[in-house]
Amino acid sequence: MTRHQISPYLPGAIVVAAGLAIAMVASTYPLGTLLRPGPGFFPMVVAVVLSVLGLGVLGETWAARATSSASQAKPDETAQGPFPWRSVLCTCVAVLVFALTVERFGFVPASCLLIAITAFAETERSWIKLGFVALFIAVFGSAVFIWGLGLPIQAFGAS
Amino acid sequence: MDMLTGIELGLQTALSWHALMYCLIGVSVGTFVGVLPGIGALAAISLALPLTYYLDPTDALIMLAGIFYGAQYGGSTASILLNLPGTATAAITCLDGYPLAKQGKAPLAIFVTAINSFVGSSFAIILVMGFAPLIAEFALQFGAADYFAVILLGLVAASTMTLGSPFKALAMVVFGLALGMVGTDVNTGQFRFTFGLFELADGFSIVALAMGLFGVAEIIANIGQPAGVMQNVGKIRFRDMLPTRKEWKTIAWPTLRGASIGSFVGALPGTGPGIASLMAYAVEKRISKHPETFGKGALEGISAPEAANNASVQAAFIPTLSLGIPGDAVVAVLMGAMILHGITPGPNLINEQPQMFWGLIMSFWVGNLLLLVLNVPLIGMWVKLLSVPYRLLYPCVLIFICLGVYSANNNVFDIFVVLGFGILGYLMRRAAFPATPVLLGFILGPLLEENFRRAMLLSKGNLMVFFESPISAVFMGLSLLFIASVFLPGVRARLSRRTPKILEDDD
Amino acid sequence: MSKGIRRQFLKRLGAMAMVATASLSAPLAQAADSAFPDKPITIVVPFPPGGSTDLLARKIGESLSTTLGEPVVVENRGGAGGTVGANYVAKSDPDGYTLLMGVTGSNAISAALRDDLPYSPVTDFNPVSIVISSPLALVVNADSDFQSVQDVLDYAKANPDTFTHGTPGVGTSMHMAGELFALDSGTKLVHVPYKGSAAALQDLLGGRIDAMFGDILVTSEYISSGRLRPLGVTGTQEHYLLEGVPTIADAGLPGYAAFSWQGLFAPAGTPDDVLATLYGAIEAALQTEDLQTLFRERGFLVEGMTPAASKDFIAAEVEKWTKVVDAAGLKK
Repeated sequence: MTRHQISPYLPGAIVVAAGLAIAMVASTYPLGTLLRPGPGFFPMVVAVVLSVLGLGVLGETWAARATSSASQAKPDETAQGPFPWRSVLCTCVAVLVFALTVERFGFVPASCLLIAITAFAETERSWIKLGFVALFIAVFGSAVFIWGLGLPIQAFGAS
Repeated sequence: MDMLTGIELGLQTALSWHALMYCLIGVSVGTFVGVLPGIGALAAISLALPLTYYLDPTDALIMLAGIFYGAQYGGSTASILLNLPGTATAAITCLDGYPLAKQGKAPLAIFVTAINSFVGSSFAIILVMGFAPLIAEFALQFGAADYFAVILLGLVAASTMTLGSPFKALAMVVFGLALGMVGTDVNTGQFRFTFGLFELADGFSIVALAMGLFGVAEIIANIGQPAGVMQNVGKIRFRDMLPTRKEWKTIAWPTLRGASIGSFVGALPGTGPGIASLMAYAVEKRISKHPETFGKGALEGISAPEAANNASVQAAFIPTLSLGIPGDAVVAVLMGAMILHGITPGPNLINEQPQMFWGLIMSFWVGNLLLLVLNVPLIGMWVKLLSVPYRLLYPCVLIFICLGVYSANNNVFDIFVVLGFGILGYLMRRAAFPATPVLLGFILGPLLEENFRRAMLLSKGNLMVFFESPISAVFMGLSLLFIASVFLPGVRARLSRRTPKILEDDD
Repeated sequence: MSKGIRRQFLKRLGAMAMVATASLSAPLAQAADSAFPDKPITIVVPFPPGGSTDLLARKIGESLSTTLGEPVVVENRGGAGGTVGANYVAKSDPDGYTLLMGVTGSNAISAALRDDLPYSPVTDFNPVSIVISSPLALVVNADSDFQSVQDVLDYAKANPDTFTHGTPGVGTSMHMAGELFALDSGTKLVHVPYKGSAAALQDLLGGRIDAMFGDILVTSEYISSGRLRPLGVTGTQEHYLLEGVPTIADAGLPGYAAFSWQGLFAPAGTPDDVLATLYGAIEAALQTEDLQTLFRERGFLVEGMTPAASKDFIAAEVEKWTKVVDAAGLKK
């Protein structure tokens, strides 16, 4: 099978796998009975139902491909374009950096870093405009969150 | 005390200049934090609470309550414009609100939510004025089995409300149930699915979940896309906001139905506005002649839930003020505020503190009027936000989201959680899995399990308990009806589709 | 998380340095420490704002700041029944600038209940003072047949696993009060946990559970309006908000006593003179009109224990609740 043939089944397979994983963890908690359920009972039920629904999703995909293969060969995923690695990566790094720096170096430096990193996700960027955004965030954000809502972080410096 | 004297006393209190001022401050702050993604009413009230330690108790409550219902007005704005719901309620408004905004009808959508919020609130306030003690006594009759039946109905409704593949929607409801299990088991205190992370002992925060699945996922989907501006917003005329005569007609009944459902659910302690809007939405979709328009920008799809959530917020004061039992988490904090001021809410409150009770209720009217006056002119300004280029808007939104989830517990861990759900939400979106059912499963699941197990504990393991109590029996019946109404039209449609086919075959 | 590890490392380093300075130049260290406080002090409240712990912390903080001449900031770090905030303070620098407003749950019961608690209430904290305590009230619905503690005891003995009592959750002081009641009386009660006391109260008012060990102030409202009946208080003497209600010990269960309490804690390793300075400020705070009014209104009993007495008290509490938890088989 090529990648093209497997990938449409991936979502359903992941749901089934998630259900099985939950069931595995749930089995480590006391199950109890229907009339006296323990902490593991509800998770186990949920896990089983999730797996079954995952099979349903798989079946649905299979049925849809069977009917559409005749008329339209293209799987629906290519319609969305390639996976935007750059956007996902930049957002992740930006948020992680923000989370790790906001308590240590302060809100303003952390925000500037986030703005700069997300900018790399774009195809073009204007540093001057982003500078204004940073200035706005520094003033407005500090006023609302630190002064107004009293979050225990500093505009500059460790909290 | 009869109602007229009460109203008079209440108006005297609520219309004093200081009460008016604190009411205005409250609703303005509420609208503002409601619009900011990630900062909900709970966070805002919690953070404002210490500031009120030195105010007159009635003024303090008027202000805090203003933040609470003000945030419901503001919350829908960010959902409609940017698909950024901060609460479960707002997530439901997103379903049809965001498509409306995409069609360029954002001013209309926001106007309708403002009007409906007002109608919904007013409906519930009248109930609070006339029947608070009566309704509270009724709510007291709800035991674990009855709650289970109500939540089950909510879950059945949740499972049938989104477009697309039913398997995917159902799988997402169940996935939401699974996410709701993370944390401390109420019955035994056992940590479940926390994987040794102490920060997960209270489960995921609903704000982090909603912000991640919707907000961050939306940002990932749009960042780096060539389309720079969402819409070129021209000058917004008042005319663009006003519904046409036909549109007024469309929203009239859904609004009233939403308000009734919201008032009922809100009066039940422990349920909350999320369940109210969900049920209102599901009911509208079920009885609509055009269910296929839901999710694509149906006006009924925003008017019913908006009326419901505002009604439920006001109705949540019924058990609080007449019994001292807070209706939801936010009202619980408000009740904390009363205790701080030396007023312990209990069955005596209405008689012992008539000035406060009636003053607060009259301030609800004042506050809702202020909100309407405040929000309608602001619509133009909010919609203008859409003309800011994406790549300048989104870093700001991302920062607000991060700080919003951080503010709940002052813990960086929640920022990691929101990011995780953001990535998950984006992947789900690519695979055409709807995100709203996850949120609904997440709020309903823990209530369902908790009440089922409590019902079993109290009845010593008797399953019939769900049918013995009349309340529970009614809701179990409604659930069955709902399921039947989902499957029967499908069966009928399939039959009618098959009939011509058979005829064709005969040809 | 790396922050926690770093803090722990710094804490060890600090402790080593302290031993070193103490042995080499004790007088010098004293001189340096006597400058305490020379910057703002943070009191961590391990709950969201609005609760009684939050209020107590803010009122005490206010008084501390006038006595000590430095601002006192209250920070809410809620989560997991107070243990997230307690853990945060346990891992903070032991310099007296980060303090915890700890409660029965976070600083005693949790140690008894959980093996995986990332801190030890006994060894990771130097208490400044157990500030207040408050007994609970055993209440039943006014329509219930139970008229006295003895009635409950008789019924529970005759019908094991039948008498239901609602609590705001596993491991709360209300839950522990119930388990202690069962242990001391040799009965078996059905524990019905809720999420928060309001939900439990709702079922008690609705007649779906038999009883509740509840907060004195909250239940007194329902008692005065004739919806609930108090059978006994869990303290060692009658409570002024519930006059005429006997203690459970006097009403049929001799020796029974259970309290919830709140106190100020510093991380372990905080220098003694810093603790002494803080305790002095607490003593002053307890004399203020403002706090005395607050305590009276809320039904708190003033304790104001010294650091040494508080340390012994915590050790005793942990031991007491460990016994109860083990007997009830609740250990997680």
